[in-house]
Amino acid sequence: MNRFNIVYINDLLNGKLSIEGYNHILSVVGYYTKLNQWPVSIIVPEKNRDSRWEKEDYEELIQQYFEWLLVKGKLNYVHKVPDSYRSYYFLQLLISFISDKISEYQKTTGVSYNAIKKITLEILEDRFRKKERDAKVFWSDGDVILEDMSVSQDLDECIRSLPRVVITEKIKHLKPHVKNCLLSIFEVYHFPIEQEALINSVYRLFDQSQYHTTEFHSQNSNVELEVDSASNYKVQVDSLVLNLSASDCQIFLSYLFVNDPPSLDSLASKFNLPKSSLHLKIASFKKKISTTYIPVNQDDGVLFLEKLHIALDKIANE
Amino acid sequence: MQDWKKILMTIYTPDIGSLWAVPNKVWNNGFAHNKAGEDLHPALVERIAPCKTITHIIPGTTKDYKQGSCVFKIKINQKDPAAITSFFLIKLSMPFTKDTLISLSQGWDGVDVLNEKQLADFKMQLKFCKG
Repeated sequence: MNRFNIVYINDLLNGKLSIEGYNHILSVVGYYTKLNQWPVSIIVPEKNRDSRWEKEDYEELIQQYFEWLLVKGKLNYVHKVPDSYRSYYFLQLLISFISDKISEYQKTTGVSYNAIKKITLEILEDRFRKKERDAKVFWSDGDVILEDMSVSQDLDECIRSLPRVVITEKIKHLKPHVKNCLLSIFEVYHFPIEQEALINSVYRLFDQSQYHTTEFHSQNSNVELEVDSASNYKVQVDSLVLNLSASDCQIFLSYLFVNDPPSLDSLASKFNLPKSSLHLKIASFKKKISTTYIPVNQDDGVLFLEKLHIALDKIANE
Repeated sequence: MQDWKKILMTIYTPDIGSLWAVPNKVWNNGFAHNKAGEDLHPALVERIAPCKTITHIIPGTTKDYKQGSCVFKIKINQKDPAAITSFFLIKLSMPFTKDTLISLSQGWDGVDVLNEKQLADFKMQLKFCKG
C-alpha cells in the first residue's frame, strides 16, 4: 500500500471520489506518515510532537492536503502529467505539503533537540571519524587522537562567536544547516569532541531566541523598525558619498555592486587609471562601508546597500 | 538583477592580505602565552572559508620566532624608512569568525591591505609553506 492508485486519483480529479477511494488515499497517506515518522503536531498543533496519530488526525491531514492542493493550484496542470506518472506526482505533492507544514511548525516552535540529534548522528556516521573510550564516543574530522584532549581548548568558548542559524520559513530541510554547523565547529575546534557535547553545540548554533518570547513582534513593529533603519541609513549613506565624484561612483558601481565584478585590469583601462590606484580606491571605499555601518542582520545589510546604491547611482548620472 | 546577498557578503568580507589589529588572547598557544591578553599585534588574512563566515588569520610579530619557509618577513609600511620588520608566522594560521574580525580595527603601521607586490610575495610564501 505504498502507491496512490491511479483509478482513485482520476476519480478525485473528476470530483467522483468514492468512499473506497477515500479510504485508499487515507491508507497510503498513513503509510508514508508512519514510514517518515512525521509528527502529528504539524497537522494538529494542539498535540505534542510525540503524540500518537489517531484516525481523525489522518483524516485532518488528508483534508488539509486536499485544501492545499486546491489553494496552491497544484491541480491546474495535472492533465499534462501522464497517467503513468500521476501516482508519483501525487506522492511528491504530499511530501511537498508536509515540508510546508513542517516549516510552518518550525516557525512557531523552533527545531527540537531530537530532530537535530538524529540528523547530526546521520551526518557524523557518514563523513566523520569516531573512537570510543570509557563508554563515550568521540568524533573528529581527522584522525581521532584522544591524547590531544589533555590540551584541548574550551569548546563553548571556541564556538561562542560562530554565526547562528536563524530558522526562517524558507528552511525546509535542516540537514544542510546541521552539516554546515558541524563543519564550522570542527573548523574552529581541532580536537575530538564527545558525542553529547557535540550534539549540544550543534543544537545551540540554531538561533531559537525568537521562540523563547511569548509573543511575536507585530507586523507594525517590523514596519516601524524598517522605517527607522531606512531613516538612519541616510546619515551613513550621506557620509559615504560625501565628496565622491561621478567617476568614483561609476567605479564603485561597476566593481562592488555587481554580481560578477570585472577584472581590475579591464576596469583600470576603462577608467584610464593605474591598476594600483584603482585597487586602493576600491579597497578604501570597501573599508569605509564596512566601518561606517555594520548591519544587524542580512536583511538590514541588503536594505542599507540598496540605499547606498541609489545614492551612488544618482551622483554617477549627474 | 543584482544578487544583493552576494554583494553584501563580498563587501563585508575582509580581503585576503588585509591587516588587522588583533588581541593576543585569540591565540592560546605558546606564541601568546608570554603576552598580556589584550596586547595587540598585527594579523594577516590568509584565506576565507567557502562559507565566507570564517577567515583564517596569521599572527605577526616583531620577533623572529621561527626561521624557514613558514615565516613571511615583511616591512609593512614601505614608505617609512624607520618602520620595523614584521614576521608573520604562517604555521600559526587559525580560523576566526568574520564578524569578530571586522569588529576589530583594520590596519597596522598605517597600512590596511598589502599592496600588489606584497600580496604576491605573501601568496608565494604561502605556497612554499603549505604547498
